Amino acid sequence: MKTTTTKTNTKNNSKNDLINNLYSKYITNNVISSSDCIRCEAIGND
Amino acid sequence: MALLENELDSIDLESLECKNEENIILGFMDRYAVSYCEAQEIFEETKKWLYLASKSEDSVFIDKPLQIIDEMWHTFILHTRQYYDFCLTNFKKLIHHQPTPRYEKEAFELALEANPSRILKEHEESMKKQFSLIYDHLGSETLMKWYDILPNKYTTEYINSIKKA
Repeated sequence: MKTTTTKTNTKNNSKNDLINNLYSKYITNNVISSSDCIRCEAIGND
Repeated sequence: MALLENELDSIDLESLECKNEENIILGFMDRYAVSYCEAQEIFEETKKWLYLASKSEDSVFIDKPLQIIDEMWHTFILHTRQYYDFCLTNFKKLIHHQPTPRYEKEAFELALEANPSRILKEHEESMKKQFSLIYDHLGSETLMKWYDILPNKYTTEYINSIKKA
């Protein structure tokens, strides 16, 4: 159980690191404007 | 909550069926100067995008880094019968393409001007939520491909340069 918890925490840390790094890169390379940040949405209708 | 590795593996994205998909790939090649393999790869990513949209309870959005997927999506939608069949066969629902209305764009611009720090914070939250969704459903490789590899190659300028008249 302890091993599983450690493994899950490591996985979540690496996920958060990846997301934070990617966002830093994103915000550096993209100008935030209405036409850039949301172009279209996918909405599923049952 | 992140999916476990074995759950992620069990999602067989290659089984996302699209009858006569070469028509869409060739249709894309009529619009853009790309090889068949390149168009096929973009189409695979577009199918994954639609899969993600079908799995998400909230709407997901396409922004500038995903522009090439959006262009393929436009081509796919032109083939209405195939698109409709693809969505219903694989997801049991239709995935709508909904451009941001002009009034929302204008409201966003005004809000950005009035309170840039709040808008940037909201933007960061929504982007990270979408990154997390991609990571959980499609894995880190797809997240990197969509927000690092593809946008480096398919910049707006490059997409415009390969667009056929």
